[in-house]
Amino acid sequence: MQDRGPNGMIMNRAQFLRLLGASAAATMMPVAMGSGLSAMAQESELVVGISSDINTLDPQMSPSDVFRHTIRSTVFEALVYINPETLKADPMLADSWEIAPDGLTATFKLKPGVTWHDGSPFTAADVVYSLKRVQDKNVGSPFAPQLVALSNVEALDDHTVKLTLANPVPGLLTNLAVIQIVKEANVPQINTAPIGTGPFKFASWAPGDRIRVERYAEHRNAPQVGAIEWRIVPDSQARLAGMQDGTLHMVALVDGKDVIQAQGAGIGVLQTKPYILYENFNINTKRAPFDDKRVRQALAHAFDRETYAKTVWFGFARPTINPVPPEMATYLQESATMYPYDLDKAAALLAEAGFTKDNPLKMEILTIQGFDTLKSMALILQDNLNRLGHQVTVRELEVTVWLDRVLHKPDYDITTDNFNTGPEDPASMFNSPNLAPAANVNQWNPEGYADLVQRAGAELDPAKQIELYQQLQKLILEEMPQITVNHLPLFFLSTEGAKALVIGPSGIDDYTKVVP
Amino acid sequence: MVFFLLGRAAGAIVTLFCVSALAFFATALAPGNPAAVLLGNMATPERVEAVTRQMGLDQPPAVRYVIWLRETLSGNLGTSNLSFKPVNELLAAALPPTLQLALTSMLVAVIVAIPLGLILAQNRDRWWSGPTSALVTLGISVPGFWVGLLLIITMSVWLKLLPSAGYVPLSRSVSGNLRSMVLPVVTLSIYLVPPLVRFVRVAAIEVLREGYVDTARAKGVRPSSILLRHVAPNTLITTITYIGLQLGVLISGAIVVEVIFSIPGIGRLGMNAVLNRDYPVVQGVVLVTAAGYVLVNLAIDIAYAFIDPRVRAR
Repeated sequence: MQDRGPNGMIMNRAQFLRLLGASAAATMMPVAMGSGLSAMAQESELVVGISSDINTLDPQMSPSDVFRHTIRSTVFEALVYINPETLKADPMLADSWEIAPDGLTATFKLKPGVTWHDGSPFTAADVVYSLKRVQDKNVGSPFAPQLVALSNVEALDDHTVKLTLANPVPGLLTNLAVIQIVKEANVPQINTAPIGTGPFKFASWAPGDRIRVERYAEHRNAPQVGAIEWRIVPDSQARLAGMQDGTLHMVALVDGKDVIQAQGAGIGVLQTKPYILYENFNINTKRAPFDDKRVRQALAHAFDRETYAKTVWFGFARPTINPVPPEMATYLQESATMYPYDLDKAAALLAEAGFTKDNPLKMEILTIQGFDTLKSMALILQDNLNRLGHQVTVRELEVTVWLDRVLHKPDYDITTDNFNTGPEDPASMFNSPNLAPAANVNQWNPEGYADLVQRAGAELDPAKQIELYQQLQKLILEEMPQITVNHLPLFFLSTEGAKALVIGPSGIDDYTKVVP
Repeated sequence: MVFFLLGRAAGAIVTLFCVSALAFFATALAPGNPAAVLLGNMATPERVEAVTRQMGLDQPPAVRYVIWLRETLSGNLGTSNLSFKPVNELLAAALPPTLQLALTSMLVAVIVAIPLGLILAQNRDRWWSGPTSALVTLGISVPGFWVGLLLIITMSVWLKLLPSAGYVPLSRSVSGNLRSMVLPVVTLSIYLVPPLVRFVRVAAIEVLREGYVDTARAKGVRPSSILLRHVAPNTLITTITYIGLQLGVLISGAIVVEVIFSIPGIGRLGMNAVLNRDYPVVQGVVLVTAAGYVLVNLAIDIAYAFIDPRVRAR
């Protein structure tokens, strides 16, 4: 009896084995053809390696995306752009602006002749729509806090927009710099086919693989490169190898250990100012015994910031206990010597709060998967406290579970975290999800804090403003709702041509000068 | 044969049903909410609730499963919670790289391992047999991701022969596609070859002890002919069974290889979906992987019939 093969042909054993042999020859082919030159990325195309994908293309959403700067820096534009050198606002979609002396209204003249990627003209109505969309509670934009004081926005004519504020906001321009302008008609499709006014138009997004944008030739500041492609390369060694064999022209946001390795291999490193981020421990101050500030202060004394910066960040991190960097005018000078690493002091403070070897402090430090430095931070604090006889555990969570436990429940003792400093505006730090009085990760809002933040944010006199912000720093350093550990720059690996990238302080970068 | 196939097909459907239900309830039990991932840390609880409702996640898992099943049976696997792309489309994009990677690697592994195993069995008394077998054992213990990185460093960074990462679709460039697949295929084959060599060697040694091999030898048949005509065919049946069992290794190995070489395949799609609690995508990936498993095992059963006349006679 003969059997039928898959395509109905009669095949016997010998034929079957021969077929196997033929496929063997076929698989040898790629090896033979594999020799030759390496596949260089196409000329005039910038290929950037990133470690994980984005979650959404909507520039007014993208909350927990590490790489949201990709789309936000290229396809869309805001009214103004914060120049990383001066930390002042440069014109972007707005040509000029005027803020009334009382700080309660601001009028923006828009750039004439700007078009959306579909060719339609950009007008004041787009700005009005975009700002209102961010404020809309039903949209739930993570950028809504930036516009909390905005009480009205109206178009005076096609190229003039007037903003009315409930109270003066000295950092208004900084806030507007992160609000991208979208087109109302495009919003239903914004998650799949976004249209912006930026120097690049959206080309494609293959989730988990790559994001591609292409030059928008009609842009007033048309870019040098024809296209940018972000490739998701999850393995850090593979990203370095990609830089070395020319598959990648740039790698965005790398760790200290990768910087050291890249320098050793002769790969160029791009570095921002040293205070774009800070790493910290957030403390659930609503939960006993962390509602006792002596416990929180003890934890601050129990973490060796200097050694951590040296060993885990290879000296690239700048240890500090104050989230405000010394470069800011509001910086509190005396914070430089506060909370030195002192295990005896930590033990004494914990003993005062009732925790000793016989009655050890039991706590769990959460840390997010994929952030190696944060995990080291958690392990160092755990080790130090356990040496004092306490019982500390570290638990690494997937980001989804972490979000749920830390932000939505909240059900945690302490967690590691990192956060943007917002160096361009003193108000932004105290309105961040870490410290905003309305709601913050630390569940911390003591009597008078909200009022102080409000007054400091609305103070127009520079000297008085500094005074108020220093009061705020004193308060958080005394109360220790979160333990700041260091300030960090952002690192990009890049070829010579790609070094023309301008990395903005708030995640809006300028790719127009870049060449591969 | 027809009854055999029908029986197997029915079994396959039951398997797929069970696997999809298991996967569905396992992911439903895991903590974490995709709405929270989508909205991030500034979202108000009301907003998270609204999006949760919009995603249909406020329904009990059993209800959600029935809805999913109904949609799936009509050919619609749903839409990703995050990228808003149809799951069908995501799977269609991720399948070709994975299929190419897995099938080519398996083929390479078989072509390398079967002759090697036979030769090692035939020459088991020679002085070099021991060290070679030891080397094969060493191969089993070497982690695949490490081999992959070594290959990248030597072939891409030092010799600049092959691209370090990325996948070029066949439709875009045939030579580019083949070049992008060399290192991943070699890496994945290294997962598969050593255990297979060991298995073939042991199976072949068994066969070499059979009476008919002695008879052939007594007839004066050359040793190489004995190996090819008598030993090889008789080890194939057990070897093919073993290859079927190795499919799990192949799939898990493919995930690691896809991560190292940045190949946008099923493994990475599934991993990201699990991490982001993108339930519709997780379900799609599980369904496709399970279907692949079932199909391959069915193919192996049919292959028995081709290779072993005794099975056919039954």
